[in-house]
Amino acid sequence: MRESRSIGLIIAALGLLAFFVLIPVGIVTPSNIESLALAPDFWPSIIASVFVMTGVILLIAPARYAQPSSEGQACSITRIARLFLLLGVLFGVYVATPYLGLVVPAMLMVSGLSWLAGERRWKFLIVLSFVSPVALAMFFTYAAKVPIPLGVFEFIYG
Amino acid sequence: MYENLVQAVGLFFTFQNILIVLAGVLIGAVVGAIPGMSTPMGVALVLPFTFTMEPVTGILLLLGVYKGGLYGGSITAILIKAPGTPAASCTVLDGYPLTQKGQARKALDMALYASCFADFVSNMSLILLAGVLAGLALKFGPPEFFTLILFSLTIIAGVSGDNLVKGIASACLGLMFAVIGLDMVYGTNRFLFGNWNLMGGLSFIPVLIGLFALPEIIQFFVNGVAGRVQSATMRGGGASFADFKRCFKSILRGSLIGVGLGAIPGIGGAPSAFLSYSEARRTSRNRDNFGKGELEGVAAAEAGNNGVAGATMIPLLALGVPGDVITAIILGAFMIHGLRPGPLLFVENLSLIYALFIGIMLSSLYLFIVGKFTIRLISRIAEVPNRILYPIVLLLCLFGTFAINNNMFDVLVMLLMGCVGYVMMLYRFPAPPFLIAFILGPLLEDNFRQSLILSDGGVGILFRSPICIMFWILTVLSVVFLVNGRRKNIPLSA
Repeated sequence: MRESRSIGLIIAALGLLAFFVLIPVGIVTPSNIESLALAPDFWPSIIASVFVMTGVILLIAPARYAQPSSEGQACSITRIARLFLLLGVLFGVYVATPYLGLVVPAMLMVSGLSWLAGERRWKFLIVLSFVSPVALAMFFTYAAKVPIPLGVFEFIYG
Repeated sequence: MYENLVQAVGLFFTFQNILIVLAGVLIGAVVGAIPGMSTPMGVALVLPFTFTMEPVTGILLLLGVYKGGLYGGSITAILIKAPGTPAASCTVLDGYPLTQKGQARKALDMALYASCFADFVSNMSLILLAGVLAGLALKFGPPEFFTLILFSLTIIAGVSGDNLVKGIASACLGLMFAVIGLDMVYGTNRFLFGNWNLMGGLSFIPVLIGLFALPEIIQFFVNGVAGRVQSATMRGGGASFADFKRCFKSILRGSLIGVGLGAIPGIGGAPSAFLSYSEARRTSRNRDNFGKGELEGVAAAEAGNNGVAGATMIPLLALGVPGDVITAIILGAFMIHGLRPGPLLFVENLSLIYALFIGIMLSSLYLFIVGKFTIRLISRIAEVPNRILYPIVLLLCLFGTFAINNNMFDVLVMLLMGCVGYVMMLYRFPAPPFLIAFILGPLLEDNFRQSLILSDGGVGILFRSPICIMFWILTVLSVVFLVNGRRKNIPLSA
């Protein structure tokens, strides 16, 4: 119930933020609008209002919308650490791609994540992390004609 | 019509198309059979591979995955009591007890026969009804389309899981994300904040993959689940023609229930399967055996589940509105290929529609072949541990997302949407309403504003015709029905 109330509060706050800050700042509205309903910010304002309403409903009637918490979702240091490690790997691939191409970071990602998830057969891990990104890169490069940034594998393009 | 049919035959009958439908059904059956992988996730992952294909080929691949996924969910439901899709949860009721009795092969066979028959009936209904409905829809203007799309948004009630308010909040987020880009009427910026990558709006596929594939993967790694898989056992003899004949009444009824419910936006496979199952139990001579391993129960559940597959395509093809989350993804695929489903497609591109019909009919046959000859292999693939499966899925997400526009911005959008999706999953905000609103939002706004331009700002135009009024009434009735159904705990699919 407490969680439902907190969620309601956050939703209502986000809706109000959208209504009073994001929409006025983020949407450019011309001065010669013929009808209020035709203005570029009319539709987003309606959406933000409904969003605020859903937050208010969760806030004032939390018991009705409370749900049992998910199994195994208790907050723990290990879980948070794993989450940040995973996000670090994912965003690391994004940051590294302009420098190393997509294939090498993807290899490191596959091997790292499989290991993190408990795969300990090293030979299998090496083959898996090498073959799968290279096979996908070859498919997109040659079959789909999408120029995948290959980094050190750039010689494949010939 | 004859000319279009000849063109359609030419359009469809290429070696590539014939193989691609088979590949789609096979991929779908594998994805559906893997617990933790959903059919929408499968369709999302396959979508980037269709970019360079002809529209017919690409869309048939996705339809194959859809149909294969519906059936594949029943394999692990019967063998290891782990339904691969929500709709297959009804099949567990009698399928798993049959496996425990050593009759897994018989249950799998009956699931296959019922699925193929229901799929065929559903496809026939699509072919017979879609054109008629599209003919009526040719009379629609922006106000009619606005009310139609508004009615379609009631799907959200059906895909909101057990919390409608959170479903609506999720839909609002989807609508808000759909607003990003240039304004359709005045061409001014909306939520660009100086980032010109956003001028064309958020691409559909990064949002789709971020919402449907990444949260499951993040959840898996964060929980540190070892991913032990229960082994599947296929024992006993197969189902005979006599078994099929005994269950035929329930299969036919289930197929028709599937067609009826599938054509209504937002209902989906799970309620259809449960309704078909409960009707079979109510009328069967063996009703006491239901839930303890009754073959007719498996047949009824699977017929109800697969009967929706073709029918959900009726509103999509005829009116341009999706019947469920997978057809919403397929609608996105049409748009990516420069096509807009709806009545005009029947006028301008009838040969394409007929080619799709041919492919859809062929998919029923392939479903039978795949089910009959590869079931042992599929049940083995379903045992691949998640510690290997999920990094590979992540790889597909990465390459598939990059391939859309050849830029890393889409990858960034996918990763951020994955974080949004994970937070939504943690706090039990359903993702399907987000996606449906994200797709339908621009259409709704566009038709709303076009209507207002036509009427010089008067909202009365939204009630101008009997069609508009009919959709307003349907919207109200649909909301009342879905909310009441929710109160009575009728299961609604995601």
